[in-house]
Amino acid sequence: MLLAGAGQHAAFERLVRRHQQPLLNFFLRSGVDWDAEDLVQQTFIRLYGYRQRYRPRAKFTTFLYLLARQVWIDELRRRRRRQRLREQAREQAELAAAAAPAVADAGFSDELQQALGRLSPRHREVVVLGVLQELEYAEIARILKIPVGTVKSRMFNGLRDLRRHLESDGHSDA
Amino acid sequence: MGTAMHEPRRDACPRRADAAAWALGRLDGRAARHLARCAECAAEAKAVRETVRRVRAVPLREPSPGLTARIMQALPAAEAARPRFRFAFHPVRAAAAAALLLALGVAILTIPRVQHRRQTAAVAHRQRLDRQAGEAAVWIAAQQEADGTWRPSRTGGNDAYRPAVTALAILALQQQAPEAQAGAIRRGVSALVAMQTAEGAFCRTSGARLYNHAFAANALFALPERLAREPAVRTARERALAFSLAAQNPQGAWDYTAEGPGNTALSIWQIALLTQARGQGWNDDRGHLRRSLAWLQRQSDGRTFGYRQAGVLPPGGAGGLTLTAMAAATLLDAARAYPALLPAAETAADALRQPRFRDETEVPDYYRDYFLARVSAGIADQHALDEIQARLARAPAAGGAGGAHWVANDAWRQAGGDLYATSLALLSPRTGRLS
Repeated sequence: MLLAGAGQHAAFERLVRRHQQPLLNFFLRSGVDWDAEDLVQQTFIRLYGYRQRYRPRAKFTTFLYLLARQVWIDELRRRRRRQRLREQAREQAELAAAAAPAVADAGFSDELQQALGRLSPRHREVVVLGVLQELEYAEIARILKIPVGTVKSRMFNGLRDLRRHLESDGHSDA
Repeated sequence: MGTAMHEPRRDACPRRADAAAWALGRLDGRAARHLARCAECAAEAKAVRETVRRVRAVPLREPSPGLTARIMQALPAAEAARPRFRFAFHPVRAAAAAALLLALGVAILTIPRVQHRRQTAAVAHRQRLDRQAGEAAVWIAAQQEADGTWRPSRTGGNDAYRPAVTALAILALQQQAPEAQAGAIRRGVSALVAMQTAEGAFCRTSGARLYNHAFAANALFALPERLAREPAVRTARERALAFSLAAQNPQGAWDYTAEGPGNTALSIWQIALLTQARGQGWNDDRGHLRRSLAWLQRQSDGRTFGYRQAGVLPPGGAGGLTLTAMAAATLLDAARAYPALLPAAETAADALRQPRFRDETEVPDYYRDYFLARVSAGIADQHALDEIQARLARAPAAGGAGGAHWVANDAWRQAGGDLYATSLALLSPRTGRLS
C-alpha cells in the first residue's frame, strides 16, 4: 500500500482537530461513561480506513456520525457481552460480600446529562444529533436510516420530554 | 411511563411537531405561517426554543491536549493491523485534502460488504483450523514416547521442558480428542505422575522448575473426574499444590529464587493452578490465592502489566502484550470466583486494544496468541478471536507422520518445539464462551 504522504497526513490531522471536540461531546451526551476519547480515536481510525471511498453524495458530517454511531453500537454490544459475563460470574460467586462495585459514571454529571439519560434511546440520539451536534434533519435521517418525518416527530417528543425532565430535576434540587 | 408521557392529546394540533423544527431553525415558509396562526403551536415552539437554548448553553467538554497526537500516532498502526482497509491512496495535494474529505460524500453500502467479506474469511479460517486440529491431535499422539512422555527435542525443543511439554500434549489431547486419544492421555498422566519429585515438584532443574511444575500441575487439575479420582493422581495433585503453596513468597508471588520479589509470568501459571484447585473444592483458608491476585493487580500501571514491577518490561522492552494478555486471562478466570476482580479484568482486557500493541501481533507467537484467544473468548469478542484464528490459519503447518501440525517459528521454539506450538494452537479457544 502506498503510505499517506506528509501532506495528506497533515490534512487528516486538521480534520481530526476540527471534529474531535464535537465527536467527543457526541459520545459523552450519547451516554458513554467510559473513555469517550477512545471511541473518538476509533472513529477516526475507521474514517482513515474509508478515506478513499467518499463519493460526493452526502455531507461529510453525515458519514462521520454514521461511523461514530457504529463505533458506539459496537461498544454497546461489547458492554452487553460483558454484562452477561458479569452476571454469570455473580451467579457463580460464593462470596456474596465480594459483589462487584458498579462502574463509576465517568461522563458528564450535570443535570443535562441526567435528563438526557432519562430519554428513550431513540429520542436521545435524535436530540443529541440535532440539538447538540446541530445536524440537519436530512442528515439525521440518513445516519439513523429513518424518514425525515420520523426525525421531526422524535425531535419534538424528545425535546418535550427533555424539557419535562429538566424542569422536574430543577424542582427536586430546590 | 414513557408511553404515557408521549400520549398525544386528542385535541392537539397535528402540526405540533413543527414547533421543534422552528426552534431549531429548520422550518419552511408554509410551516412558519401555520405557527403564526396557531396559538398552541406557538406556545409549544416557545417552550422548545427555551429548552434548545438551555441545552446549547452547556459548554462542550474539551478533549485532552494529547488526543490529536494519539489519534495521528494510531493511524499507521491501525492501517497495518487491518488489511481489509488497505487500498491505494491517491496523490491528492495537501492543501486540497482536507477540503476534499469535508466535501465528499460516502459510499455507505460498502460497510456491510466489508463486514460480509470479513465474516466469510473468518468462517473459512475456522473450518480450516477445525480440520487441522483433528489431524494435529493424531500427530501429537504419534509423537508420544514409549514411556508415555512427550520429548521436546523430538520436534526441535529442549528436553529440560519435558514435563511441561508432556503436560501441554495431555491438555491438548484432552481438549481435542478425549475419547479417541484416551489411551495416550492415560499413559501421559501416568508418566507425569512418575516424574514428580519427593518435594512434590515435577522438575529438578532450578531454572525450569516452576514452569514445568505449573504446566504439569495445571494438567493434572484439568483432568476429567474419572482420572482425577484415581488414588495416584489424587495424591500427585495434593503434593503438587502443596509445593506451589510452599514456594509462594510473603508478598503472594513466585519467582525463580525464594528471595526474588515476584515474577509476573511465573506467578500467573501458579495463580492459574490455585484458581483451578479452588474451583475443585480446595479451601483457601490461608489466603494464598487472594494474596497472589492482589499482588498480580499491583503489577499493572493501569494499562500494561510489568515483568517484575508495574510499568517495567523484560529487557528489550517486548512482551508487554503477552504479559497483559496473561494477566487479563487470569483475572477473568479468577473473577468467576471473585466478581470484585471484574473491573480489573476488564481494564486489562481493554488495555489489549491499545494501538501500540498492534505491532507486536505481527510477530508470530503461539504463547501470546493462546492467552489473547482466552481473553477474547472470555469477553466474547468474536472479532478479536477471528484475527487470532486468521494468524493460526496462516501459521506454517507441516505434514509428516500422523498428520498436519503447527511448526514452531516463534521465540519459544527452542524450548518446546513443534509439540509446544501445536498443543497451544489446539488449546486456543476458537469461539467465545458467551457468543
